[in-house]
Amino acid sequence: MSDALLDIRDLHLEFDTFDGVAKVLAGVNLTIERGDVVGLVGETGCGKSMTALAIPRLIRMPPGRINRGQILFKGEDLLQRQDSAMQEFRARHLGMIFQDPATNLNPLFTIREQLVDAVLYQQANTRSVPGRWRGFLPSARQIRRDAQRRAIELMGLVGIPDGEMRIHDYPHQFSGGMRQRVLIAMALAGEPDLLIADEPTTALDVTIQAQILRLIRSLVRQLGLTVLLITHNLGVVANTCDKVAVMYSGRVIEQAPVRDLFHSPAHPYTQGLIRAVPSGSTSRGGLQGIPGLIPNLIDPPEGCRFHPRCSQVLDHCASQVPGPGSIGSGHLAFCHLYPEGA
Amino acid sequence: MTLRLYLARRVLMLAPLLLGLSLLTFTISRLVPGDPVGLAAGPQASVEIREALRVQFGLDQPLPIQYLNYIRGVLQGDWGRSLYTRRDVIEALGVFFPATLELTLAAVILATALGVPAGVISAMYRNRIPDHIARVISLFFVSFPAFWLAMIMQTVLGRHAGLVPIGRRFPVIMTPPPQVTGLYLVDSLLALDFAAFSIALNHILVPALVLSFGALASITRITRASMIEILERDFVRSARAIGIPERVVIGKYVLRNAFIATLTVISLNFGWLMAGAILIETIFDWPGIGLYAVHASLSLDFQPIMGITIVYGVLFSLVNILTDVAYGILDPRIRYG
Repeated sequence: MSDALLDIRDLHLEFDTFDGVAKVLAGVNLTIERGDVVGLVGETGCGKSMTALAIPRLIRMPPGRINRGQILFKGEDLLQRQDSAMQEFRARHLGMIFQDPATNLNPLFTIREQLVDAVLYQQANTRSVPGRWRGFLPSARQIRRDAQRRAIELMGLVGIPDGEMRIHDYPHQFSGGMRQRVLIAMALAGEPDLLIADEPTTALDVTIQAQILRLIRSLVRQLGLTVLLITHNLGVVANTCDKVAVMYSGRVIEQAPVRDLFHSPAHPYTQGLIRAVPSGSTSRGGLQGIPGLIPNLIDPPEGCRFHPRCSQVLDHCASQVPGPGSIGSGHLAFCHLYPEGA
Repeated sequence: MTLRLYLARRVLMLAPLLLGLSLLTFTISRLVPGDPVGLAAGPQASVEIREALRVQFGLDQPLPIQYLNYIRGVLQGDWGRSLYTRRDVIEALGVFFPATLELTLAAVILATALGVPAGVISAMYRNRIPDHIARVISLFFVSFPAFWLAMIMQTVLGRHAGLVPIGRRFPVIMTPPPQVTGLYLVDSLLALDFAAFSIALNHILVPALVLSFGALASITRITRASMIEILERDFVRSARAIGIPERVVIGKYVLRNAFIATLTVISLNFGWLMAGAILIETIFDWPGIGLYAVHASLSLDFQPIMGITIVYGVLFSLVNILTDVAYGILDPRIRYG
């Protein structure tokens, strides 16, 4: 475990709201090994995206507040870094792409402007980047020209044909899939160790989804990337990921290699989730849900947050938060059915 | 549509607009009760003299003919003359208009130069100390009547501190820079006369500052609101997430998006400031179109009123066209058409 690229330990995140304190993350544990593609799945509101945004510290505080836990990146706790040092971390070690490629590119700037900036500011020494006012200096021009060459290379890498021409276009002249490729290129410009992809295909057509996922897989092979892929789509996880973590109401409740999770889900919630996926043989009206509703984050259930809906609930589920129970190699469940250390 | 074609069309469309404006002003100025000829000729003037004046200014003709004669004159460069001073309107406008334009431009530039950074800082430090300071200051200045602030600044800065002249564009005993644009600041720079530039700057600073205050508040507030809205956009988070430094995110990516709304307010303010300049010109004895307009309106001096209205109309329309062109430059998705 010590050689993990990213190790999130007992992360607690709260938000002050008008109705009270929302306990959005309540002890997230997540380990990502170098070279893995880890899927993070869960329902809407379970804290997947908040976990993703907490890693590069992109959550505005206040109203947000991280009051417990560690985010260890290569052994260093990111929560201890100065704010000013986080920009450098994001530039050098992290790439991130989001859900809707239509809104994640700045509409008023050409792809060239945005991609060249991504290349320049992710280089080792940000201070040497020529700003707009120094743009007339020959040396600065040369730097931007070199960056543009690299930008066109990146466009080729992510499968955008005619990069030389298309780099001068504006985002609205690109299709959704192509925009997501541009965003991937921007994220990869600094050769990051970790790519966080927050629902990267949710806003895209199904055929384009498959292309983008294939692209991410091939980039993992080519560049030795590590990926945290956030999705609510179990099919995407099955096709793309090596490992998977399931979240429920602000906690990771199970983490396992993909095959194990789908073949032998341990946590009752995971079992319900997998049963709920409609298959070809599901009859009309035969969708199987999990009874009950997701908990209120301001006043969540004590102990295991799933216990009010759980079919296998035990006496102490309502009072004690379950720790990690090992089920097999790399397979952990946070459930009292699988006692800690057993 | 290309920019050139668009501009040509917009300028052509000015013609009917100005025709309508002139007709409206003409009608209103003739409908207002009062006898300007009587006023101009004086109380002792005989009926014959009044009739002679009426004929001389073409006021004995039927109204439609008067209007057509006026339009024909305007197109030929003869904008009529004042009933009182007999001064050519076009010549008077040539003297007074640049002064007002310079004052208004200076005020708009000042309001933008102060308001946009204040708005940006407000947005970046939303609901924290710098934001409160910027908001209180802008509220402070917009809350005071401009004429009162003008007199206070005139008294404090001009009279007691002696930092700036109390009024006028240029010392009476000195020759202003050779006229090219009529804007002393520009003309003195064109003549490379930096002494004249600093004198002109010293004269315009306080009037322009006072004039800019009203616009300053609205520019600050719209910039703040617009920045805050843009800061919430996905692309801002995306840029931060891949390590673009905050100063670039704010100063380059967010500001350009936010500036579109600010630009609208700036151009609207330009019109208001032109109108507001009349007051400031009176206080600072600024030899602009404002005083000329006030005198003309009070005595129903037809020709100057028409001329001033048309000049304001042209200027306001041009500012609008420029603003629309600027939108297209800022946002590539906006097409001219």
